[in-house]
Amino acid sequence: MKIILNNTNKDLVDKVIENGGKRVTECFQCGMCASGCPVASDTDHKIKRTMHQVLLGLDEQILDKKAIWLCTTCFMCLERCPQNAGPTDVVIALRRMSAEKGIIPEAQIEVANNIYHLGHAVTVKKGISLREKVDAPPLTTAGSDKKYIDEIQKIVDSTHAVKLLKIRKEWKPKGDDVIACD
Amino acid sequence: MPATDYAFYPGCIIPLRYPDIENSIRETMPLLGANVYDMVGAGCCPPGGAFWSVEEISGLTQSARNITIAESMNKDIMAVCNGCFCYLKNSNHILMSDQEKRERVNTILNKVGRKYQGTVSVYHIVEILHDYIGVEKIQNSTKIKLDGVKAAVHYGCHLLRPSDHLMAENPEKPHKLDALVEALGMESVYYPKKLSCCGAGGGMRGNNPDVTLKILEKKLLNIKYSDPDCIVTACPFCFLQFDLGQKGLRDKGEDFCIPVFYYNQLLGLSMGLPKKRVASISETPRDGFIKRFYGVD
Repeated sequence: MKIILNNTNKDLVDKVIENGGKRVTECFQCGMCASGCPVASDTDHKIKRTMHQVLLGLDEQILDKKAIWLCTTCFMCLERCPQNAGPTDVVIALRRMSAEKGIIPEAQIEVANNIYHLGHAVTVKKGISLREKVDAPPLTTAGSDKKYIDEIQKIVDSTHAVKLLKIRKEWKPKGDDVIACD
Repeated sequence: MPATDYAFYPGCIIPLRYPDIENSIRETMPLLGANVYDMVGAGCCPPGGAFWSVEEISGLTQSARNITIAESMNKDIMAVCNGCFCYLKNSNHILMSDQEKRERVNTILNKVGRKYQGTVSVYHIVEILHDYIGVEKIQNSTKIKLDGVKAAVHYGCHLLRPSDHLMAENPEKPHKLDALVEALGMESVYYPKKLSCCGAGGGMRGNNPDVTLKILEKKLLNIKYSDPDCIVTACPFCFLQFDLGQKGLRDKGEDFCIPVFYYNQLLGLSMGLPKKRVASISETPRDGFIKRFYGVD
């Protein structure tokens, strides 16, 4: 089966391709992607449907919803897709387009701000006290010295991500929980 | 063929939440002939959940910065977390093969006095243990054998997939971590959907705590099918999900309390290293396991 694209959906497909979902048009809706998806049965993130919606150009049904942020990026769909259409790449492309519209979940903002201000995805102070408890050597990673964090800040400041991830100049982490790191 | 010296990239979770895992890596690897050297100043990899999910260059440049630290040490990188491995190796691949992106990244890196050159490779610790050290050497290094102990091996996603650029394992039939576990005398047991996700990644743990536990619960029910004595993984985020996630499920009245270990923790205990340094931080109790099979309080 070949899906014929018409003028109304061409823009969305092109944008997805531009943002990294390069092989989205190869999808022939077999459903292999959803069969191995760990979230398909418990969330609104239905990868087979998302692929179809992209091909049909139904952007408002995808980009304004939180479902694309419920992908765990396990890459099972990408690994098993018989067309090598790269469903995970399509989800990442859609996240990028969604972020351009200012839609981004709090967890992503929290992790990015942690990395920007602490050098790490998780808080450092608690880490240092845990290290002492198990006789680990002193921390030498980015979180150990402001000069390394300055480098990371200069890098992020040079990219569009500083705006997309709502990086704040003043930042206090919400807590010591590890919310995302993969 | 990698050398016997590696640039040790610890990531975020191991040094800052499970430094006992870090100790276990630092102390077991040299005993097997693999010396590890600190990547001083290394930051977050960064993973797919945040930077990669909004834009490519910011993630790529931060990865490149980390890689330049190993380049200045003239050593290949040893990654000890699946996420770090996947994103550092992916970045290294992109930067080696795409000149336009490499130039954009180097323009930014120049502002912090760095330059990506493409002179080092990225390896997962499982590859180093299995492919370059080998199970025989590991077998010979241990003092205490865990004969008959049943382990549920969890590979995690980003050690296996996407396989076309990670190339660390057979993505549908991996065997390396099983072989490493069996080198300690344990039996790696079958359980359904062994290759499925633990449910932590991509921002899920933060964005939807209920769903993350639901996915974990399914995974654990499959694991329970084989009634293992412990779960073994070589990814700290999967480890955290099993450790804290089982506590989360217990808090909801569910009965999940399977001891979880990072591979090198069991390796260290089997070599006779002290529990306090190599396996003392967890929310899901492991003392019973350690007492029963290692005879250590």
